[in-house]
Amino acid sequence: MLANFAAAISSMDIINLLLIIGGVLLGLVFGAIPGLSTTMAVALFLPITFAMKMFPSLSLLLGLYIGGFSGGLISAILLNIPGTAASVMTTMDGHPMAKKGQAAKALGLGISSSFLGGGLSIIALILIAPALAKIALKFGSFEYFSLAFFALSMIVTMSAKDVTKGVISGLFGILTAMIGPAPIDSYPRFTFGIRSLETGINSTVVLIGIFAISEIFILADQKKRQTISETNVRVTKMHGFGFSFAEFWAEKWNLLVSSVIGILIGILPGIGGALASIMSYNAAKKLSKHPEEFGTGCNAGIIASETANNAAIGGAMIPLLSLGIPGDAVTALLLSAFTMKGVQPGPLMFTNNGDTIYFIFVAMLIANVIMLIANYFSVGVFVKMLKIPKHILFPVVGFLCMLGVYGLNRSTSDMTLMLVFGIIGFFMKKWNLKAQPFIIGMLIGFMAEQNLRRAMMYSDGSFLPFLTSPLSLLFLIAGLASIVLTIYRSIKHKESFAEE
Amino acid sequence: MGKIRKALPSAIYLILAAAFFWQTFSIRKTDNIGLISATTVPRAIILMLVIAAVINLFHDLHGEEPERFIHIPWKFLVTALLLLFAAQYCKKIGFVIIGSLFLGIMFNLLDDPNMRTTKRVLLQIGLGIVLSIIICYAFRYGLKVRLPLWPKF
Repeated sequence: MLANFAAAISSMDIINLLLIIGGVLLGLVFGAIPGLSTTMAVALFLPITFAMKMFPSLSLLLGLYIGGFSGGLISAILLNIPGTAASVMTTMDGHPMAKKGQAAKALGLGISSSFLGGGLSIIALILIAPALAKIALKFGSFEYFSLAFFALSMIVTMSAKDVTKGVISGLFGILTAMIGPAPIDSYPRFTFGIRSLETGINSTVVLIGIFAISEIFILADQKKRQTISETNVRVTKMHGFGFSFAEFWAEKWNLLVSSVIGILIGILPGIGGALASIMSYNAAKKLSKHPEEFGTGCNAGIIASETANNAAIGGAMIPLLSLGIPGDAVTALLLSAFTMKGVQPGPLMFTNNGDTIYFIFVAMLIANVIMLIANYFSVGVFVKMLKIPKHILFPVVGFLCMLGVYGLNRSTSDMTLMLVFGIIGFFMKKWNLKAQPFIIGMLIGFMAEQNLRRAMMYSDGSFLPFLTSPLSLLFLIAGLASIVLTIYRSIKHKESFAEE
Repeated sequence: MGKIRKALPSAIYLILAAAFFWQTFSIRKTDNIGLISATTVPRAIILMLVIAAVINLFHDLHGEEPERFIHIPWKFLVTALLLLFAAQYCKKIGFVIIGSLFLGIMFNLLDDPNMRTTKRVLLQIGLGIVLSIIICYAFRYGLKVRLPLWPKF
């Protein structure tokens, strides 16, 4: 192994290093701008790599992959607009912390967690890739449905203050996910006679509408005119990453658990970082001594979300390299890059193309370090963004969103949908419906229905296999327990409040 | 009036649930392999939504009166129309002009009216044009996103 590493390091010349740096920086920009995604960055630059040799092309693509995933936290924390779906949970505590005048600390925590989560997942990829890939193969439709059910239980647990409103928001999210082709039979549903809805709604468009465009409407509708200084989030001077080592060390177990969750979710094909961050946030809240602090700007919430979504990167590479199965959209594009160069990922790649495998490991480790350095130096610049008056900043963000949404499919109907969801987001805020349960419902709803229908087909209409599979049973019990406990706590809290 | 305002959100949830339920009758029927068809899960979700909306209605009717839903309807409408205009005409007139219009109008629309002067308005329109050009070209040539930049004649 060490000899292979030494060979891979010697292959890392200045060109490859520069391509990794360029890739990380471009990825950060793509991740930070709502609408532009990591997948889009890799897809746009993939044709450019066709003319390159294997190692330079991998350097650029892996840089884009790692940079893109960590870029999403910037707009999530500063503007309450998740740059990517995987950063939705970062808004829960990141933005409240920024509003308290601790934007630099929130960014520092997010960046450090991204670095450590990414780093641990790359180490897992190096050490135990084939063994971990076997876990993914144990997941069938029963386990996938139960996992989705567990993730959906988060809708209730994150709405402890008003379970009914949280559930309404989550259910509307699930119904939104059902617009378009039905799972299994693929016939369009809930199109309301609109042809452009027959292919479904892109989750990025909904995310931008609900989080970004709604903010412009809120600003336009403000009854009391605010002075420029009132519209901005307070900014304090930053030292280092903005937090102490003791604060970070206190979250060591949270970090470890979130990394494991991120890696395990990343391995499962087609799930990705969004579910990883939802599940680790849920786990961190359950394990915390102060669950009431979650959602108010606590360190643990940011660390859980950002560690897990970056740990999913290494996780997603595991099935790609050891089984030839892409774990997410970006690894599917990487698979095509491999195939173009005549390399077939899978078990034989470790023996036939050992040099490529170890180059990937080294490139990912370097990209992760560059991501940390690039973010460290850019935090100050991003925090300065908060000094821009909102009446200038928000229209600019709105225009960036327009371009990002158009760039997704070059479709004007996506831009109209973005407006529709912007108006929906505006009324959700007015009626105290949280956006996060809606997004969770939308991201997980389709997966849950698809696997439920598939599982019921396999079992010929019997629910029994959901209970006989140990993994499935575990997720179902955990999900049900979460829901029951939250409702119980919510009722008890209301009773004690009434007594007072 | 107060009760109507309190009940309005839940009433809208129920109307939306009814609209989704009505749509389930348009879903093409297939063989129900494994008991669950394309309508089963949506109808279960709609039923849960109706129950939650009724509970919410009960809570809201006994709660405090909410504030007005839209305070400044004309500003809301102008923002919505601008975004709709951008969606409908971006391909024809290009993003540079769309962006200049959007940014120029929004900067002034959202600005503090007490600080509004002719010089400031013109400055913000100019800023909108400059930013639009920079952002569009950065997207097109820096990030390689294919966009229509200028009108097609």
